[in-house]
Amino acid sequence: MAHPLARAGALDLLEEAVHALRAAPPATFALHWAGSVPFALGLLVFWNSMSQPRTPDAVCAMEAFALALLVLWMNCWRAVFAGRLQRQLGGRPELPWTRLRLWRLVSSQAFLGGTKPVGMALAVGVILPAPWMAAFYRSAAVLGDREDLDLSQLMAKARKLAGFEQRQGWGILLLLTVLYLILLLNVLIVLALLPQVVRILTGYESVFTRGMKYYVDSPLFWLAGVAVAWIGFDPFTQAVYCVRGFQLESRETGEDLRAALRTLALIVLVVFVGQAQSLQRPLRPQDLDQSIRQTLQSPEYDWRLAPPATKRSGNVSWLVTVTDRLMDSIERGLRSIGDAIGRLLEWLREKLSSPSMHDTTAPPTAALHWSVYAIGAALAVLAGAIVWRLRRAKNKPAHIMAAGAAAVSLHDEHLLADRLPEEEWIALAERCAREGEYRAALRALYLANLAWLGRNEWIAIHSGKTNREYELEVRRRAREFPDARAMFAENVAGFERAWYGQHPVTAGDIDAFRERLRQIKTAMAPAEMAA
Amino acid sequence: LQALARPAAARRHRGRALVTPIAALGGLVLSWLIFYIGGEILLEIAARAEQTWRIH
Repeated sequence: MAHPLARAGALDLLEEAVHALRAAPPATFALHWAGSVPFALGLLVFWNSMSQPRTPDAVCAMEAFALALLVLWMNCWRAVFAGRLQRQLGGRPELPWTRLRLWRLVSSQAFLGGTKPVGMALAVGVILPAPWMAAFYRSAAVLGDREDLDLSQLMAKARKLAGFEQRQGWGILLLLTVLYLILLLNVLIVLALLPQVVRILTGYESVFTRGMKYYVDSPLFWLAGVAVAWIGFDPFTQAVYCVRGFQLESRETGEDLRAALRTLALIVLVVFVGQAQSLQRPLRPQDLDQSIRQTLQSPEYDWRLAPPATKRSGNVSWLVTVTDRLMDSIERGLRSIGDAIGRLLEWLREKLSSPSMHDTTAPPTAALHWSVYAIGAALAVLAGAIVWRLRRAKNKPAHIMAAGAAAVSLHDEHLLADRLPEEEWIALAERCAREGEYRAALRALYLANLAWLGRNEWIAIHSGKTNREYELEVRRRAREFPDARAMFAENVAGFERAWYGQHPVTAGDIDAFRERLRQIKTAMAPAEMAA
Repeated sequence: LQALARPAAARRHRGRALVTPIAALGGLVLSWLIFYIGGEILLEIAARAEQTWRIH
């Protein structure tokens, strides 16, 4: 429930919004995400389709229409989320769903959803009315869930709300932009590192881990980052404008005072009930001590602490205030963790100590509580599992290395170059050549060539790629090595002639291929190897 | 006077009743148009990028 007195600062408004969201049940968030998640996924699919140059115009038109419907869907759910949050601020009950309410919600959000991109683009282009425009559309979303307002009334009211407190509007917009950019940076870092983290924890190698640079360079990666950050941040943005709308409306309706009185009545009721209950049972000294300790930790009793060394001026900037609050929160959090660990150790000490220390007359029931045995057993199982996994990981490479080359069939059409390291492909090729299987030897040498290029990140090996695509990839990335590019093209042609064209392969062809591979490696070797 | 004024008021009411569905439909069409134009621009960029890549 919001504070009864309207406060003008943008930062205070953001704090109120955080309180409102913390008090909101998960179902309220689910309402927002029911709209925003499908829209974000639809946008990613649309972007992916439109990045393919051969996508027909009809598909573009159909997908654009689906996306327009998803915008309407998202706006409706956002309005329902905002309406519920505002009713929570005022302590009012939920409204029943009627046909009129549904129609007004859908029609208003269809109109506003269509005009918002145009309006926001114009506002950002002209710069000045951007806070007004943002406040107008966000306030319209807050009011969109109400049955008593038709489209024109809703727009008039949203216009009125957006017109109040322009300075505060600028502050809100700037703070929200900065916070969103911080969140976006975090999301992008997490998304970029996620494949590597998965590989470290599970050993799962994927296209994303092999071609990290190309994964991060992809526009879809950036769009996914923006979408994920927006899904997480938009409920907060909407909550800020909900609180703003509630406070501005309360200036005329006194809704915030009514909400505060309802809270007060509830507190009085709880106090009376609590006192009545406390009269029925005696108060224990331990409970009293704990209650006093908890009360003294609240900020109202901070005056007991020593004053800070530096004397601050009266006009402290908001940045300093926020940093101080952040540090205080961290300190309190660490203290709570310390207290929790202390209590756990105390509890364990009590359980592990001899029963005779507590009561000398009573007979011993059990040495330890069953939960201590359970925790001990769980820890032992966990330690065993870790040791087993480590030993398995240590033994695995040798086993695979030994069996790897033997397990590979060079006649398998789906064989990939990253199945074995380059040295093993070459060893396999030598063995095949000795046995007179020149065609298989040529294929092994070709795979060795690809494995070397893949290891040095000249190509990204993938089952969906053709030899031609590898050749184009090398041509694109190794512009500064024209000789090596030509030799690789010759290797590709030689391999395709032999493998797909059924041309006979001789020992001379193998030697020539091997020589070209050696020259490619010499020319394109990384700097540290060349040194 | 009441008899004369009533049909005009009823006409205005009917006119106002039509505003909301037309505005909703207009919003939806506008939304579709924005995405369609955006999609066509993306397709054009992708086609040009591929053409440049083929030349080089």
